Amino acid sequence: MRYFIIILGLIVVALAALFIIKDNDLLLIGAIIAVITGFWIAVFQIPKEKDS
Amino acid sequence: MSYLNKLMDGHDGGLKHEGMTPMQKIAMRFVVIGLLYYGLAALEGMIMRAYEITPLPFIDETHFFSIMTVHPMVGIFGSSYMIVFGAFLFLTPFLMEKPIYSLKMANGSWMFIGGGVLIMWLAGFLFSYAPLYTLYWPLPADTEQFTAIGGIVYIVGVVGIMIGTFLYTYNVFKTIVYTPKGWEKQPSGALLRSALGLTAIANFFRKKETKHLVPLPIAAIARGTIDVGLNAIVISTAGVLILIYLVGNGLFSMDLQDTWVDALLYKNIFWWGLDLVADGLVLVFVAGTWYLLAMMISGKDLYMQNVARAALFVEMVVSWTVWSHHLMSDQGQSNALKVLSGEVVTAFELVTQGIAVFIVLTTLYKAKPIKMTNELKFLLGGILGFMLAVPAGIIQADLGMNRILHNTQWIIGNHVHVAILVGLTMTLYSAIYVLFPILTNGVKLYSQKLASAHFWLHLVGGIGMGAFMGMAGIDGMLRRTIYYNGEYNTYMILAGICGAMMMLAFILFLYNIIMSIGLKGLLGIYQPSKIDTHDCLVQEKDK
Amino acid sequence: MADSLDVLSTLKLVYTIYAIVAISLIAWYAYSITQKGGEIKTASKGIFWSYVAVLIVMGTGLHFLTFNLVPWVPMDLDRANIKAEKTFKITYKDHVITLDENPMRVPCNKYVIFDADSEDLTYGFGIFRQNHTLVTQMQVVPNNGNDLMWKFGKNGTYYIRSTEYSGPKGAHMIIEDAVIVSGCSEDDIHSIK
Repeated sequence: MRYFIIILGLIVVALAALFIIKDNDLLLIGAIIAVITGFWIAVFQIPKEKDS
Repeated sequence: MSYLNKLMDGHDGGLKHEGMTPMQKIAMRFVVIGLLYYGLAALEGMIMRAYEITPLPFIDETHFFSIMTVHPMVGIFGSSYMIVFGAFLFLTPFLMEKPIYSLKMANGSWMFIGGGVLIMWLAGFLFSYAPLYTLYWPLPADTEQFTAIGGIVYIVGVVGIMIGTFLYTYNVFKTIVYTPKGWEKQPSGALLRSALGLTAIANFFRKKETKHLVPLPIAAIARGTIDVGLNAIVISTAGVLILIYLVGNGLFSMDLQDTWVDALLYKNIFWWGLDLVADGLVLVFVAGTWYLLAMMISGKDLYMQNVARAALFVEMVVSWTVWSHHLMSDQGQSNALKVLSGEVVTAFELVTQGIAVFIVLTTLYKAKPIKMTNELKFLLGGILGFMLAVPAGIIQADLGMNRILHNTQWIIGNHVHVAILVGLTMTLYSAIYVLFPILTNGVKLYSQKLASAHFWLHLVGGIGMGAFMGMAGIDGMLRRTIYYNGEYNTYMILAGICGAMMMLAFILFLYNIIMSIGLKGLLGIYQPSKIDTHDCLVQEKDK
Repeated sequence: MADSLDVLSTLKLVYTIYAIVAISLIAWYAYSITQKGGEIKTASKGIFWSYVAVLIVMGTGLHFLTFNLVPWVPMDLDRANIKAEKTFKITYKDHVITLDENPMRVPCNKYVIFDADSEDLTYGFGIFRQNHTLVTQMQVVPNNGNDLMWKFGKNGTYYIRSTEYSGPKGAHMIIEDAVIVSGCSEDDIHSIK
């Protein structure tokens, strides 16, 4: 479940980035790194969840 | 046996669906729907091929572009995703030697993706929604050219596809790491680290190497699935953005300004995500599938296995950083991104894919003489497809070449269609021929002659179509437009003939498969299985 | 000075040769692995890593090659520091291309800039010969700078069309005879009207 919640959060972050970042390469790269990192965190929640 | 009986019951007894496990049935459900969507994409492709020769009177311009909008979506998500996901949801538990984590999720995946593609297709068919798959901002939210309801239906379809995709990603990762009920506790975290390549990186810094806990194909599946997830996040984000504008401006007459989102920034983020399909999961999944097929066909260990694992990891990281090659003709894009991301990093796709080709060919060579089976010839066809398409991609990802090739038929012909139709699809056909007896409990193929005809028609048609489109591109023919005066008719007629060869190849293949398993067996795939997967594994253990 | 036709015809030749070699190689390999005979030797590590090195050189070498041989690459990368002889303003709105100067008269072998603005959608700006081959192009992104620097070395009359999809109407965004180059010693034989 945490996996899916983090993914929803990442979609919101990416959406916000579309409105906030204008012409700035560093912020663009920062947003990309944030999405990659966030998704890896989401994936690493999976082993921690109960095997129900 | 009469023809009708054979059609109903299949060749040599056909498919006995009562004896199929749930996983066999689920994999077959994915594959059958994937093949049907392939047929739809091929039909759309042929309509567009004919239209490029001469505009067809019964299709207006808007509808032509709505076909062009759904065509890649049906091909990629409806067909390629479905076949790949079906195969991997079967292979992941098969190779990890445990049941899949959730059959319900697996069933949910094909239902959501299959249903989502249908809804999205209806947005084009009924409402002529046509912003193309590129969705360049603010075109998809343009309610002057397209109806808001058409766009909303399209996005609802995309949301369905993405839900099915996220379910697949979770199910794959969870299947790798979980411990089935009653089994000895498995090292979840270590399994995931091994699958994603972190163990291999850590080994570089350790005196004593840690053993890889997952087989090589699982490493490819896991790393490609990372790109699947990232891509789904970005497409979902674009979908939500478009939905906000379509609902706000289209249904509630609000005044949301499209200038609030910078079009170039959107293009960067969207292409970053979209490119994870073309330059990420496709290349990673294909390399992994090649390795598995090479080992299965040759019966030998993979040549340079550790290098292959490392290359899969490099390919994944490279795929996160190459998006800028799609923006080389965008003058607002910085030179640094164009050169570093667009040119230099992209060049490493030649290296990683080249390594995969070398390793697979060497592995097979070790086993010579090998019989030229269907799976082997389709595998070699797939390798040839990428040998042609990847260098074409590297060429166009160059500042000098992109200026005169961007958005021409070269891109979509020599690179995209050869990569997808020859490289990817022939690899998938090879996997289908390998998996066919495993998934059907040994059903025999109806006709080897039809299988051979399928191979040659598809190979020659695929390469030929790409080549003639590419030549038209070199002569200035753009993609994503219509030519009204027959400017490129010679190339387009030749490309159309090649397209028709591929269409015929697919019809022969489908006929061969239906005659092999029979219509009864085909329909039986969609009935619930009477066998419990856990029972099968207990029996295997007891042996 | 090389133009797009020179580069594209080289591409056609080189890629065709490569494709024939690749197809022949796979055909030979497919035949070979079905045949008996001879001791089977796998490639040594040395051969493998040499092959990887060749791939790296080919992948990155292409960019060094075009930087040095294709004239518009260094010009494009350094266009902020190059003074243009003339700048042509072009506006895109409602699927109509409006030229401040029509036709755009370009002096031979002088740097010129095509400066396009879009007030609504993403379009493309492409210059084509009369035989429809592409001279050059750029994307025209709304609310962003879209400046293409170019230098023409042959006389000719060219048309422009949008090279990016902007909806079904975009297929009609063509202006005939929009660019006229004069003053060169050589004619572009595919662009003479």
